[in-house]
Amino acid sequence: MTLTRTEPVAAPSDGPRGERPKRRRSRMTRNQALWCYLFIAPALLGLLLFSLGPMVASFLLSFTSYDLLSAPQWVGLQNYVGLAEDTLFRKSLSITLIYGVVSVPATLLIGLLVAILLNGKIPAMAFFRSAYYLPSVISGVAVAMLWKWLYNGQYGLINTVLGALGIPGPAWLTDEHWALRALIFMSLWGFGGTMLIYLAGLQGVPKELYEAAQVDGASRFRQHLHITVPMLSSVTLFNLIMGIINSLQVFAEPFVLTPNGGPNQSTLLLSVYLYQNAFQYLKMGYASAIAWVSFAIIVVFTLLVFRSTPMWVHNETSEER
Amino acid sequence: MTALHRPISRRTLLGGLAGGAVLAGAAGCSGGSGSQDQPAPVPTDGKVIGRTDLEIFAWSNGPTIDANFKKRVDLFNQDHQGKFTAKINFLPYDQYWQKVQLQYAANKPFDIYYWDVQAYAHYKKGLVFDEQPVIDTTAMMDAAKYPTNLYDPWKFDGKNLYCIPENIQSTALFYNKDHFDEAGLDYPDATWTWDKVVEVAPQLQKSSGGKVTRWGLDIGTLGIWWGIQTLAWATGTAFVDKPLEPTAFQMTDPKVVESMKFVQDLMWAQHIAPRPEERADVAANNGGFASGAYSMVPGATWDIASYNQMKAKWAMAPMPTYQGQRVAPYWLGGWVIPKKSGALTAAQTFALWSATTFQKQMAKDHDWIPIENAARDSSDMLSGMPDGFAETMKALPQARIGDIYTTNMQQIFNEVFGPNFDQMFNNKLTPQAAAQKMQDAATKLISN
Repeated sequence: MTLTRTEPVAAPSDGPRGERPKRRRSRMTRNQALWCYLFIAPALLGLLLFSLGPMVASFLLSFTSYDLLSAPQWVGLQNYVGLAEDTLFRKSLSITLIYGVVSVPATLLIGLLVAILLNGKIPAMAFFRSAYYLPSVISGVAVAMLWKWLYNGQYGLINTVLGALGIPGPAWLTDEHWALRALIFMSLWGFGGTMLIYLAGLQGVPKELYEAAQVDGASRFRQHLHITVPMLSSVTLFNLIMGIINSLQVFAEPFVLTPNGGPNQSTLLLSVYLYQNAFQYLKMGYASAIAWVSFAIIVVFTLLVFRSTPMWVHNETSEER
Repeated sequence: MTALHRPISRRTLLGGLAGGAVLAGAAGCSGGSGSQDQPAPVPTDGKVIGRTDLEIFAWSNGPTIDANFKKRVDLFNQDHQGKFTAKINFLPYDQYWQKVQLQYAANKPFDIYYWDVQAYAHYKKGLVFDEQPVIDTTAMMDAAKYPTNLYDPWKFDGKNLYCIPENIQSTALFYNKDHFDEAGLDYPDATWTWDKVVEVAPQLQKSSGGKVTRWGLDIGTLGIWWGIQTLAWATGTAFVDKPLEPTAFQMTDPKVVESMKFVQDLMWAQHIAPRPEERADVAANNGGFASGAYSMVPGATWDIASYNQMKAKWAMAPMPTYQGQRVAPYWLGGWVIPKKSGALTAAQTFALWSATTFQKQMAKDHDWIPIENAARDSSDMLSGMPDGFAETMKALPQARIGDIYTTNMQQIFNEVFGPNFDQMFNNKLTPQAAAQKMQDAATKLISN
């Protein structure tokens, strides 16, 4: 059975001879529509029940006081007003922003540099590509457990190496000045996904551009600065937006490495604070408000990034015109 | 064209589905509430309310205790063959209360679940029965047989029990006998004071290559708010005016501040106990007392089951006296049965059986401490238990509840006690400053 129709559509007719094909067409159209809805139903239902439905429900809950144990009570904007006055929320927001501002650009930079390195002709290329990508496919909790050992102040590998170099290693996870840095540093380990997308983007950069630059005497650094970076700007845009979204949603690593917001709540990222309010303090309405503020922040950042694209994203289509 | 055959527009379809999803979500957002003082129906004349197959939920307490719990359920099934069948499910503690709460939200609470302080919120919302009429059918209210005075904090309305207690826990000073023998020192006993501990701890400490490899003392439960509070109790004060629905915090009471300073000094001024970073390293490396990293540690009796697996010889003593006094904390363990339990009679039967018939076996298992006096003092309980156990139990009649019952206590633990004690233990806040910060923040939260 085909669901697409390619034959010419008969002109509408008022006469008795024209009625039959019209009815058949109508039945066919209905049949096609029915099949169409049937095929898209699983995806549509999944979207509505497991994404859109909970989103709408959480939006409504954000205007309620809801403790899971009794019915929600409408409180209007009280949760949002509460957030504005909540010093811990502001602290959590600033910690999350610091985390994002450092980890997102750093991940982009490392991902790009490693992608450029792995785009060349080096031995055991497949091994290196897999090795760098591997951390991205390991579960966040497993990664956190691994890093917990690496960060151990007395017996951890990092401080052992630092000690061998004569540098006293800090108390990575229990010192409030180091805990967030430790989380950011660990996040860089997951640059594999960014690298892979850059690597795919690099395949699309015409070789002729580099050859022409070489002829003009451009150094390797200048070639990458003036060819690779602009040519990959649309890839950077994608990675940047995904990075912003991920950094505002990071949860497993801080939750496992530094429980309850870490030393002096120095790693109380927004998602952790949201979790605490929802499941430990039974303030589901308040937590929903945090979720929506977090969503609004993501939207604002994404829009700002999109608005800035004419300044830095190389768009072949517009230039060809 | 009939209404039946009217094509549905995409907008109508999507709108309908979205509306349905929201309604379905909203319908699930209600655990329902009831009155707090509704008495539970008493199972009489063999009448069974709800299913006969019971699902029990508890959090995992490690392999030994979990295995004993399973054996207990097997025993219950044998004893109640043809009437009830029970099955126990363990959840990790950090997921346990989420699941309990979500089941309430879905209007399908667990049949029965193990108590912790979070369940107080379930009482406050009227989700659990007053179990007193059911308890009254047993000998549990007989003061000659059970420590009925210790039930008081669980009488949330001042009169009746809303959970069914079955075991009791307290704290003690655990010590490694091998370390004491090696150092030629006398074992701790009921006469020990904290000054004596401070004097002995350095003699048990060992170092190698500039690093301490064995600490004479770890602060153990003194690193938790309720541990420090036991010191405050000894001086005649407490963190709150009353443990059930407190109305005032007393953190800035000079005696409370002094207790906090005592613990901080063990780590920083005297440095006879490891500091937080050193403790974290020990915990990650070899697990503390059980591995011989500490010679003495104030701990809780629920650790006995795991310490029983130790290779080294160990024992316990009553907590050292502080400023001439000792007030032990205690906690009740027991069962919470929701009003909407799907297997109400089976749940009540299991909880009461655990608190009565099973007590002898609980004494033999050496994991939980039976609430029944005879079982707790029995030779089954005492044989095989470490030296000092019986002496430690003697403090129970004068013990005080180690919990605070108010609905937003979790937030106070996490946002007030946790970070400020952390700061103080890391020597970044003076006890006075930490106490003031806690006083201000906790007072604000408790008044909300």
